[in-house]
Amino acid sequence: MGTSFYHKEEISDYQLLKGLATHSTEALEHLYAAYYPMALQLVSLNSGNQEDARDIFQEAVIVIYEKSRDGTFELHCRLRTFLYSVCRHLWLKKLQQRGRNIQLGRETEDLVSVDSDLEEQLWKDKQFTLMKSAMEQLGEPCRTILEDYYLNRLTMQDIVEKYGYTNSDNAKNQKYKCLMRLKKIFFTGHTKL
Amino acid sequence: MHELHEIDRYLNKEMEGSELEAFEQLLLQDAGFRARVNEQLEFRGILKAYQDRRLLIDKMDRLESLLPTTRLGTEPLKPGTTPIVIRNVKSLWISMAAAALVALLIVGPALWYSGMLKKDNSGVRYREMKRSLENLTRSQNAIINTIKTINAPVNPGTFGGTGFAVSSNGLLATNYHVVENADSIYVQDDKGEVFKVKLIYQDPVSDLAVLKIMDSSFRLPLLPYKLLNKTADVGEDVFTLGYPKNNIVYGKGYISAETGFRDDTSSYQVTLNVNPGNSGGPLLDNRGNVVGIVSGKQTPSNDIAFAVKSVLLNNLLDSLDTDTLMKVPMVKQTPLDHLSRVDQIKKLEDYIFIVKVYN
Repeated sequence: MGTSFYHKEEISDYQLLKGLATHSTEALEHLYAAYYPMALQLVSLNSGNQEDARDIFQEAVIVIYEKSRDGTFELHCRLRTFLYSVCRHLWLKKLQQRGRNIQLGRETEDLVSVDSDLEEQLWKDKQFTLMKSAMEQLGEPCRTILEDYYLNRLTMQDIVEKYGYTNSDNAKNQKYKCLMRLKKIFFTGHTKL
Repeated sequence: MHELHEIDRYLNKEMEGSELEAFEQLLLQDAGFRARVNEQLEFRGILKAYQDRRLLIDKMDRLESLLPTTRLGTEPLKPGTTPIVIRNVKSLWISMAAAALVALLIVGPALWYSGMLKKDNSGVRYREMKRSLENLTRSQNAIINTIKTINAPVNPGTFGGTGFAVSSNGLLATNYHVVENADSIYVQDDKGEVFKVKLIYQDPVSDLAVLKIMDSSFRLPLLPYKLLNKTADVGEDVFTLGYPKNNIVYGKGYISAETGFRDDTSSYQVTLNVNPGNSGGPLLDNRGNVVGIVSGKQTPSNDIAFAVKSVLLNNLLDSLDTDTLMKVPMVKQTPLDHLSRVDQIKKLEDYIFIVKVYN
């Protein structure tokens, strides 16, 4: 696994993003192999450590993943350039939050503006954090029932069997209650933003 | 409770036939119902986005355990190694050297594993000169249709470059990278007329491609230039015409080296200002010979450009089926020789096209 991880054939930016949007592990591996070193270099040369580099790169991958997933991603430069610009922006912001004196040196990589893309992302991040927290607060068995129905796409019959309900009406009832609870927690959290 | 389940069934696409029709009728008639359905759709969207991102994060965490570890471990850089800061030149060199050393230590293993060390690490880059055209606007979908686009593929937009005629009957040359992955290609002449073309030849290695205007009645007057069948000389004054914007742009320079980016023998280095959209355009000498095809530039830089040598294009055209080709005549003197640059351009404009790629 060690050597094959890094010896990938050339694939185009378009194929890579398409693969990423459809959850291809190969595309993700290729993304890391091709671009993680660049992120590591950026962060390491600017007061960061390996853990920082991993975090930043993960955040950057999430940005391009969610843009690709939306189907509205229009890349006007090389993927490398976009990814690098996102990593740089995110890292600068993090350094600012840590109170570091930021002075990045002469840039040798192409850069593009990513401000508006990242602003969009902030909203998605909020939704994610809220949903994550709401699901955690929801607890069991609701959490698993909802995941099974909405995400794992189990049928009502599957759910009846799995959870031992007497009939599908009971199962539907339970699903309804759980969803209502989740929505309540979610939207209460929402107003606190 | 039942309504929720029916809404879920509808959104899962489990409904068919008369049941589906009845549901959709209700949607049309009952605004309140429609609002509840939209609300459920939106909420499910947020739930799915949450799950998708969680899955991605899990995958990335697992992948990261496979990344090579660095010799410096997880400690932050030692106090002595400063980030690259521009103070005065002297300390710049010192900190650059330190940074380079650190970079090699940290990045060396990773670069070696990824095979990236074979790429140029001096900070210069080759950049292709295709440009992206105006975005295709997405039509506003009603929120009810959002569920269809949850897993929609990426739309990379459209790209543009330049192409030029290599025959009188509609053959055009351009760069491979301008037209790669195209679903459809159109060209536009200097009068604004648009023609559909098909890709009849492409070669990623030489970065050349040949297009043919599909309208079989398309004709141009005899070409006023020829493709030089040998390497042009260093110091030769050259110029290009291309479309980095929607009106033709003239650029002037000279051949500065007989090899291109990183000693590439298939292209020249040219001192010339080029911009995205120039890719695929002809590079001509004073006498009206096409000596190359503009394809890229070096960054960071303003005037280091590269052009594929015309010899390669000649070889390519020779290898094509000669029936489809009304060859460029190899005359000693072209009609452009002895004309002023302004007049040369006026003659050339008709033979140079915007290449528009859709995919």
